[in-house]
Amino acid sequence: MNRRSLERPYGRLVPLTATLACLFLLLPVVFVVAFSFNDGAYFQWPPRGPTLRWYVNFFESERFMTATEHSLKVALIVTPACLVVGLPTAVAIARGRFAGRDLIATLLLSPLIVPGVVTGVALLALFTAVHGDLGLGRLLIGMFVFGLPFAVRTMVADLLGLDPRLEEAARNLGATRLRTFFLVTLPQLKSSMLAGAVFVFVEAIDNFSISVFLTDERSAVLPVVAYQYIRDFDDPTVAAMATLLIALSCALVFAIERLIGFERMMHINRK
Amino acid sequence: MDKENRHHLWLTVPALLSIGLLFSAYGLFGWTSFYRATPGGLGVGGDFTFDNYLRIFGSWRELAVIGETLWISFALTMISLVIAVPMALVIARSPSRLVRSILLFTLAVTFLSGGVTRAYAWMVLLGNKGLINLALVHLGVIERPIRLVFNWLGVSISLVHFLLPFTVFTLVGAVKNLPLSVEEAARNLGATRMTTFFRVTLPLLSSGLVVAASLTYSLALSSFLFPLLLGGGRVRMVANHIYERLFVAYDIPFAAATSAVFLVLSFVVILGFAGLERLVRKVVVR
Amino acid sequence: MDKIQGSSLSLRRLDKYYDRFHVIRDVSLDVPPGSLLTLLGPSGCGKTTVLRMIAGFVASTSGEILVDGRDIAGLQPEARDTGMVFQNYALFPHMTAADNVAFGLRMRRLSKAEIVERVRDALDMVKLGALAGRYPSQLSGGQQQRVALARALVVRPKLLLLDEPLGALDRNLRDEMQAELRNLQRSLGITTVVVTHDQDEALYLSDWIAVLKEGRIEQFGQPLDIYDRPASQFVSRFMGIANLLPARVVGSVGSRVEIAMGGVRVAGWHPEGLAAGRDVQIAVRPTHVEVAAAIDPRDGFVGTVSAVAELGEKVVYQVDAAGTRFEAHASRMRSVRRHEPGATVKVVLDPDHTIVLER
Repeated sequence: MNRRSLERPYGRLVPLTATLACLFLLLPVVFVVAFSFNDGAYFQWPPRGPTLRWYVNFFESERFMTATEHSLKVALIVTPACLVVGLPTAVAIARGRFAGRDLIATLLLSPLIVPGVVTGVALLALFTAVHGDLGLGRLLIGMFVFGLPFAVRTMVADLLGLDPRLEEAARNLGATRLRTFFLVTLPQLKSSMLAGAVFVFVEAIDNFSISVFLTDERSAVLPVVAYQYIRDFDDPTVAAMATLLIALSCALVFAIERLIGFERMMHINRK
Repeated sequence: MDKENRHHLWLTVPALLSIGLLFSAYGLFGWTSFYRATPGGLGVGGDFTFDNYLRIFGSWRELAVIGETLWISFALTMISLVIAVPMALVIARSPSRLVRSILLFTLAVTFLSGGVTRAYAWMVLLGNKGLINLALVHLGVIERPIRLVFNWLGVSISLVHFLLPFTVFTLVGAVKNLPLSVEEAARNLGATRMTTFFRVTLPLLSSGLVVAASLTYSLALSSFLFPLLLGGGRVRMVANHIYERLFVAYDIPFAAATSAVFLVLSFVVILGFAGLERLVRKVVVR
Repeated sequence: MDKIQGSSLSLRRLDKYYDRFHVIRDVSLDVPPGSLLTLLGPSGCGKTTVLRMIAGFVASTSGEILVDGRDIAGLQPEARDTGMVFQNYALFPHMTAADNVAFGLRMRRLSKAEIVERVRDALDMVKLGALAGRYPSQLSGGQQQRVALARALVVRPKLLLLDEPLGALDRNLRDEMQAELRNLQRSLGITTVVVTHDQDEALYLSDWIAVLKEGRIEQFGQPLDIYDRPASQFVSRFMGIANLLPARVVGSVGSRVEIAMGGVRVAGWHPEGLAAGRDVQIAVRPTHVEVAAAIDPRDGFVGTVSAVAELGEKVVYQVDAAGTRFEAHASRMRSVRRHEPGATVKVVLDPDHTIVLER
């Protein structure tokens, strides 16, 4: 009998399923990258090309460019906003002992289980009722409200997992509460802040179900424009856009791996 | 100590404003569900009425959409769990760092690459002249291309793809909390891999499984983009239905009533999962 | 439980590589049936890896594990018939104490009646009969350990494997369990392998000790052998010999070696004797160092007492002599005369317990 098999805690079925699942997950990602270089509006075998014309098409399209600008603007404003507001909130929820704390936590995290469409329509109804014609501002508010729970949740989980003795040690060595927070607590929250930021950032760029309600022709963002393009034109320009987004997400993954390591980030998201 | 803890309340003020805004939106939206749409435009008017709710509960078509969504979400959750358990086991237990990294990398890139990207890729892949059909014909599995898109099959395939990373990420923590030595103890006492899995690993994971199922189910329930693109109008889940009420029929009150019913149902389901989790934890792990 | 027909255990040239790291190197030993073998060493020495190889959780790269002469190195863990007590006990949290103990019997498809009877016997044996229906979380650490022990023994395994069995218990409970474990193992006659880093525990429990260092057996022998005749500096230090001092061989007759240190000649012991002129190290336990009056007629090193401490039943001296520092322990009850710090004294070593080690 093969001795090496001793060290496999599970039989063959487990790694086999995991491998197939990986291939399943990667298939559309790899395919869309390949398809973006295909010289032809429809998929065909064998593929023709390679060509960069869909990328040229993407970058020359005014609609896509404006949408990209809008999406980046939303992501770059909403992400830091969620972190700045989320951090004190997370501290209050994790450490505070005041009446209504659990209620605040529950209400704050509730958008996580309300379907995005409902949140989107509800916000649209509110903006319509108060005649809040804010252009891109509608989406900024919507994504902030929607993204905040993600940021708070990861940071609360991380805060609850911290060893209180480290902070006690800092206080014992003469640091004030505030200095302890900035010198001892905050550095330990690095990974959850990064994780929260990545969540919010990706959600801000990719969210469809809220964006579709809170944007119009003038404030359209990438996912909405992409959807309309798929509906009306159907050529690999969207594949080119998708490839750029995949490249961005690969860059994010590597950044996370370099900064804190993926397995550590998983550790935080346990709760 | 007391003083400092009350200070904590002030830290939540910005977040409270955000909650306030969101819940006034939910509230206003819920309130409109008791009125009627004014003809032409997104207006609301008329007298207070339960009409919209009566219309939902009096129509098989409306109830069928909700029922179908609940059922298909359940099926997709089960499929995701079955695939996610082995993945989580490998990520949490594999002695090889390389294997763990490959899986995590795959999940992360899939997860971060976005919904539109993936929905689009599946549309092209599953099309009548898409790669999947081409490959199946080439391999002789089927004679002629079969319809994989614009039906439940296509929606389900793409939704499992969307849900799987969430399910796996939630489960990995649960597996990591389970000490390997407990499984080794079972092997040492004469249990095979299979017996160990079903008598020790799975029962001890059950509470984690329920948590993962709960998250997956609530995500599946709120699917919107995938049925929109891959359902091609023939397949719709509740979110799509609400969207159509709004942008095709311009009937805000009816959309609001549908949302309210749907929301209550999802809360009930999620509370049910939470109760189940507590029960499982009590019965299985004391 | 009845006395078990003990099995013999032999390890033959066990090797283990993790990628390019050679973590277990050529481990070979034989223990007779019914005896207790301890794998002793500091953390990272490979002792747990060897135990897990025997249990089948770590695959040896090469070598044999012979139980009653049969090589089990290729068998799956469940086919090896070993009973292991894990470091954290690894009780199944979703089963009662009785179900935990019954698990191995169920896997062996015993009849219901027999399972009930053997579980009862096993729990009685560890004095937990009354707590059979409790879940692990409702048991104390000591009780959990007893359940783990009963669970491992109830299947009447060929080998009992214990991974740091007393590590998680507090001092008093530890001493009590140590005695109980020893008696149980003796009365059952089951061949047992214990992993520990605690030399006192090893000396108390073992029939045989293998001291491991960096994946290699540094010394294998019976407890008193290892205590009195350590074969290397590493073993000496690990067994608590505080005085390890450089010296030079002057000559030897049989195992009696004459050595020189700081111009003074004294006698020591080496199994085969050594050639004159070799640089060596001597190892002397502080209890075998006597602090005598400066005018004592025996051979020894004249020096100055630098520190004295009275610790319970013993007096601890530090004496600077022969260009180095000796530690000496004297019995407080018997010492006729106390030496004060600064006093000039003569350090006399017991030649039978002055171990000469090659460098």
